[in-house]
Amino acid sequence: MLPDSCPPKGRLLPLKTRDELRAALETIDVYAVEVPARFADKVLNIFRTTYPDLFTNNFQHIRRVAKFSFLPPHIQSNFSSLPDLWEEVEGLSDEIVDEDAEQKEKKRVELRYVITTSTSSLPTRDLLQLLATNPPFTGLRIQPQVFTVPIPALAPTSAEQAEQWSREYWPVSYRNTNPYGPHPALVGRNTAEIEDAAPIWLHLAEEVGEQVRAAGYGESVGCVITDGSGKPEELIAVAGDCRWRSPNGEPMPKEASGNVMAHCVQRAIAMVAKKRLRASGKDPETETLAHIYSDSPVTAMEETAYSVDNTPPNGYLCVDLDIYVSHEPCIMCSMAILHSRFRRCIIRRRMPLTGGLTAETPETQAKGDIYGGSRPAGLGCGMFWRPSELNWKFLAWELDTGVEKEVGIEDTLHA
Amino acid sequence: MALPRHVVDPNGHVLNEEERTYHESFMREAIGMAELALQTDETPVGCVFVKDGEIIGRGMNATNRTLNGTRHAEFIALAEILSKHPISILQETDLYVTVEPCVMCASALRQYHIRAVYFGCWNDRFGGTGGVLTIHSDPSVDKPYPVYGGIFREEAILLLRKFYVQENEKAPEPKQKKTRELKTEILPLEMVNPDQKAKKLKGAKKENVPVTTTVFAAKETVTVSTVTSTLKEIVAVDTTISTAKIFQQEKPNDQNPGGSTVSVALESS
Repeated sequence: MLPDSCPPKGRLLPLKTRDELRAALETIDVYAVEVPARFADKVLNIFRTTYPDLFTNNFQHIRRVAKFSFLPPHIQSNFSSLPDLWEEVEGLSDEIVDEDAEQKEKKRVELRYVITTSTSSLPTRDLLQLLATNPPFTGLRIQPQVFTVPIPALAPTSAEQAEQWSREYWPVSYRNTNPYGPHPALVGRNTAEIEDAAPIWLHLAEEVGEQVRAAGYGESVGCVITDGSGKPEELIAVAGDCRWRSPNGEPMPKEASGNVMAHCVQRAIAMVAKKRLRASGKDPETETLAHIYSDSPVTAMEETAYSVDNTPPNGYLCVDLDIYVSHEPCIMCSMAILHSRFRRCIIRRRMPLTGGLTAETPETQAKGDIYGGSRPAGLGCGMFWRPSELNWKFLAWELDTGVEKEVGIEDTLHA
Repeated sequence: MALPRHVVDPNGHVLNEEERTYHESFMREAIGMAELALQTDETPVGCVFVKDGEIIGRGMNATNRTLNGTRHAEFIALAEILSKHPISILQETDLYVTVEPCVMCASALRQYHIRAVYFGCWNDRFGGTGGVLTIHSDPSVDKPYPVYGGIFREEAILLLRKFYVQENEKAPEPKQKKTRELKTEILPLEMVNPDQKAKKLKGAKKENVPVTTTVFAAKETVTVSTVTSTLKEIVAVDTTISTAKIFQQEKPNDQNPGGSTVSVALESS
């Protein structure tokens, strides 16, 4: 399979973090109370003063007072709304009895649905009693209507997610923040910085992958390392997979996993290290068994990038560098990227059976993709952003071209 | 030094004297490599790969010398092995490493189909075989491998501590470590990864936090007296533990197919 002759067109989608996806799964049951619109704030206030402890900030992402028409249809049909009764008690029904139906519809009592608290924090009986002894229910023959509805427990992390939740659960508002991953503003800024060149680098990564495959050295997997911290962007290293390259540099029989340490990401990282040694005036060939890792260029493209002296000698590992990979790196390579302190990682295709970067799992995808599109479930490692567990984090994207493209390698392969 | 009690094989078999001597002799070699690393200003992690009772590869961390953050002891030793042997030899090879393999190495070892891994201390920053993640047994296209931790754990920790009081001049902003003191006291707590537990307790808001830890992975049965004596050992060294509950899980896993796991929940006050 030959790569496309020109760079793929598409947009960069930031990868979702594990915490984001898990947060999206959590719902809690809450009470919704039906009241005429002009009483909505009063009911909320009564509740706040009676149960100050239960009036938490946990529902900041929820519209606590919602119009009937804004509720999802399946919630609407569950609510046994009582507009006729309310009209009666509000004294409206007499006035409009002679007018035509259209007029009547207009003057109908506007009802609101007020979220009070979670069902687990207060017995229904207590809530009913509180409502019955306060306006608008005091002295009325109308019984408070209290419904139990599930709402997302945590704030949405994108506008699309907020929209979807508003359709599925309850009207939700989105604030431009993300407690479960990189801040949207940071992601936006970085996306803008790399989106023009990303397809070109990914194309290059695919090309070198195809070259090593054709040479019999490895699978059609490749990567490109760039320094995007200055202008113009520098190409630092290019490497293709060399798992099927024997210690003497020849193609070898394809048995089991081959030489795992010669995955393209490992090779490219080694080339950066050697360039740094060279830049600081040291011998880059210090490792006597370096040929086992295939850490020297094996294609003309690799050699071109390797031969240029453009790494500052005082650099540390791969700090401030970006890595573009034709396929989602395996867990080993994802961790190598983390160990090397990369700044950003961009992948062309996912590897659901072996990839270490993406965070979707069958569980998180069970209800369909909450972010739209179709992101396949994978191992759920999400290694680029696990700051509470691992000692580094970086930004990660995938290129969405809108068309499903062949992965080009076996899906059980570790890229 | 006695092998910690929880170094058992996946069948729940506690190692006998002869087996201990066997594994300890190779861990001793790994520690030798780690000491060599320390002398050359590398993170003191060392390892040996063993096939049929013979060492076929030795490695020590080389990230500072090579400026390559992936040159861990395992990678260095693997390169030596692959320079002399076919890759398939690893299927019959065991690894002895002073510190639990990191996530990267744990995945590499699984892709190479290593037979088993024996390690000294846990790695709570990026351990891949139980310290942080469980790459050795998670769902994967490659078959899982068994791991055994805690062999000469104290020595492995002490080596790391010695290193961290030295300065790393390669770091972008070398931290002043002159004021750092080498602590030599190591809690003889073997059943719980103490660093991990401390982290959990620190991050928790509630006062009583149950810490569940697997004490024995047993295929057959574990006698109550063994569990009880182990618990006494834990409670004795960690005075913050107020209660300990034992429960048994009949949940088989990759490491323990068809077996049950005996766990304890420790409540710290």
